[in-house]
Amino acid sequence: MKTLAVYNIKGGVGKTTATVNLAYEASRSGARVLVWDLDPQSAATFYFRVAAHIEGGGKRLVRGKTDLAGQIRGTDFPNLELLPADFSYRHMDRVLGQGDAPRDRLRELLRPLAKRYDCVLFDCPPSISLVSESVFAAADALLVPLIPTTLSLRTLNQLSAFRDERPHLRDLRVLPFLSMVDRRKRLHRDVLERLAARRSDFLHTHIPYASEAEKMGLHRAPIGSYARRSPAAAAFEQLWDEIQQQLYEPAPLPNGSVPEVTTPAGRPCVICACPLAAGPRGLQCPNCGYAEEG
Amino acid sequence: MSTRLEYQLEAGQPDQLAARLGEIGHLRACGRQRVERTWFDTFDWRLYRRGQVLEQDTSGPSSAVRWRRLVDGGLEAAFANTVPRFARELRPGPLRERLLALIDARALLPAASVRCEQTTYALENSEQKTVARIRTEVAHTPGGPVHRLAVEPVPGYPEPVARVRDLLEQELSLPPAGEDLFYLAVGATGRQPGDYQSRLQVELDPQMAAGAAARRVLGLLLEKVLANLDGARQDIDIEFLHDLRTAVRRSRSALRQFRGVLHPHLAEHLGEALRWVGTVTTPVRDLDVHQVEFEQVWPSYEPELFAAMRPVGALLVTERERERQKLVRHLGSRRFAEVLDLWRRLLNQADPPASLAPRAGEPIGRLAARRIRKLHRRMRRDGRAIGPETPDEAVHDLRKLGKKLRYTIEMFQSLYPRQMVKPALAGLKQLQDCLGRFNDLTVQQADFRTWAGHFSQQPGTAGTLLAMGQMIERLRHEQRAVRAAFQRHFGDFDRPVVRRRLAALGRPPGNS
Repeated sequence: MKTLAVYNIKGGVGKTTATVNLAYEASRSGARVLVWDLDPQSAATFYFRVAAHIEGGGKRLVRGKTDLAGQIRGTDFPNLELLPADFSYRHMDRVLGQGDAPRDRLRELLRPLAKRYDCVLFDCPPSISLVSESVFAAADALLVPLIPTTLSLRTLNQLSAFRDERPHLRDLRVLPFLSMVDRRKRLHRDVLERLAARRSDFLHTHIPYASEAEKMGLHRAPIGSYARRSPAAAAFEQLWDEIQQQLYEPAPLPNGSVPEVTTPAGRPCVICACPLAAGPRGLQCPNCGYAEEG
Repeated sequence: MSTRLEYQLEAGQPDQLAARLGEIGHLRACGRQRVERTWFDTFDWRLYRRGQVLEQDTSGPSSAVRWRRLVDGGLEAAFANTVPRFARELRPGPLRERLLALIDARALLPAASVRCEQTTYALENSEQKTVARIRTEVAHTPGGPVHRLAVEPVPGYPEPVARVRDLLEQELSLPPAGEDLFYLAVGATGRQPGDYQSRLQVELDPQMAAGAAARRVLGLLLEKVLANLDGARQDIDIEFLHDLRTAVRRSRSALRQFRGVLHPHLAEHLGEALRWVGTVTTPVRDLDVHQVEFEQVWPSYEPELFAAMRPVGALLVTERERERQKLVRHLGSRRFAEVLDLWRRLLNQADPPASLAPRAGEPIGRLAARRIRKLHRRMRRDGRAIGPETPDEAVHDLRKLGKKLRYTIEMFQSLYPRQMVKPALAGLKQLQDCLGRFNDLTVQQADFRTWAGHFSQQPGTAGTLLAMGQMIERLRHEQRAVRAAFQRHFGDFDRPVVRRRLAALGRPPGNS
């Protein structure tokens, strides 16, 4: 199960639109998807026509007193499910702070769902808070929508700095992409050109500013379900493809023509060539049991 | 996870039903269409064996695929596309990973098809939110039209589904659908789901005469060869040839274990003939293994190294095609037909006189125990003699011996309680994996040297030659590591607990 968080410190950049549409495209591509709407404004919940309500509120959910799986609702689309928002999520920072190891809490809550879903998408509220830190600790990657303006791009630097200062977030990938791009605006065109020349860390697909996106509130559904052939739907489909490639293509091994004597995790087992995984005795082959003592 | 409800309908019933279901919530008609439904699985039913099916509905240019569980109809995945031939053809992502984990390199083949007319509805609540999906359909099976209604619950909305269930079961007394359409459709093709598996499963009784047991084993192995022949000729996927070769190897091993049981001249001729089959099928299989490495392992090497190795990947493709054409000729040759004739003649022959086959009447339980005992003893003796300085040939010989022991145990496993066989084989597996990898590394180094000869004749291939040198160095390095690991694996195999498990199989079943 991959956990992705659609996140930006800034509000109004298209986070919820991205969450709902990426989740829809992910489920269309054959993934089993859960959206967790963490924003007390509950816009993603509204788009999926689900009541914004958690039995017992967010506090009992976070403390593990409400069965999380029992709160999940199916959407109108196969294999796309939602853990709805609740207005009490506005106090989630405080609730997390009252418990032990608050940063690990969301990851712990998701653990039992690992076999049920291929992908969990968090729709996060803006700002940096304990909730966002808990999201960062649970996520494999942050998907960061950015409007092509100077102020918006500045928030990416703030986010990167925040991650770099925390060693436990070293493996967290940040995948920024441009959202609400209006090519009629000179500033947007300029930013696009500059980014193409200077930044290789951005996803190549950008989401156009589109009236179809604004109609999501009317249809209460992802764009692809009512405007399949629109440029916005095509952009979200392409963006999901790109994200999948980033997350699932094997990363090349570090340079060096001769392999090291010990076999780090992920490298092939010396017996059966299966990738080794961390086990109780050190690195172990899940196929033949070959173990490198740790 | 939600469970799909399915009911039998009668012709004309769906329209009346729609009105009744509308009393529970708003029933929105989503569409009516004619579809060609096709179920896909691998030749050895890898999805079915895990209780799953892959069904594709095609209507004109559009198609949709559902990957679902047979037991409860729950969806594993749904995607708007056609079923790929191979899982590796899918884009990187969770669907590809999950399907690859189940079917690996096997092709997805159509198992059966039916024409269906279907109408789909969404049962909606006051927010126009779908709370259940409903489908009525007529499937035109060879046995006649089958009318069905399926209700797919939406997680989190149990009440409307409970009311639908009450209506259909209590008020309208609709009978449950019974067998999944998948079984009806596949059954109509003359096949049965799960009718082929790679594993050799032969039922023997300890008191059975060895001659009859030998014919049963070799008969099943011939069936495996014949089942895989067309797939290997047509190159549907690489596992057809692999299974064919495995059946041939097992047969050669069986002929050796049944010496003194079968007609000696026929058995010897068949053994030689099967050796020829093994030889002519080896080049394609070796190239298949290399191609799998090229596709799955090599991309994880450094980008520069992988790029420099691309010409080798291209060479593999052309070499394989050349060898495959030769293989098709061999498998269609008179000589191959004669091998099959000889095999059938051996199976159809009654027990030869005792002077030719003195052990034909011996109870198979006793013979099996003796063979396992001897092979295990040899394996321990030869393995203990291997030290750090022993030439590699001894390691290769031990691999062959281990394979014989495994094949013999598997061939005779029905003679023993299951709880005795599985742990015994598990004790052997790790050592065999180690020995197998050692052998693969030897073959791969030799192949790289051969290919290097090919590239050295061509201009502009210095980068590729250097990369091949690096690859050989990697393989040698890995081989040294495997050789160093051998002592530990053999030590594990030679532990008292594993010895006892294997020794137990060396006592005639029923006498332990």
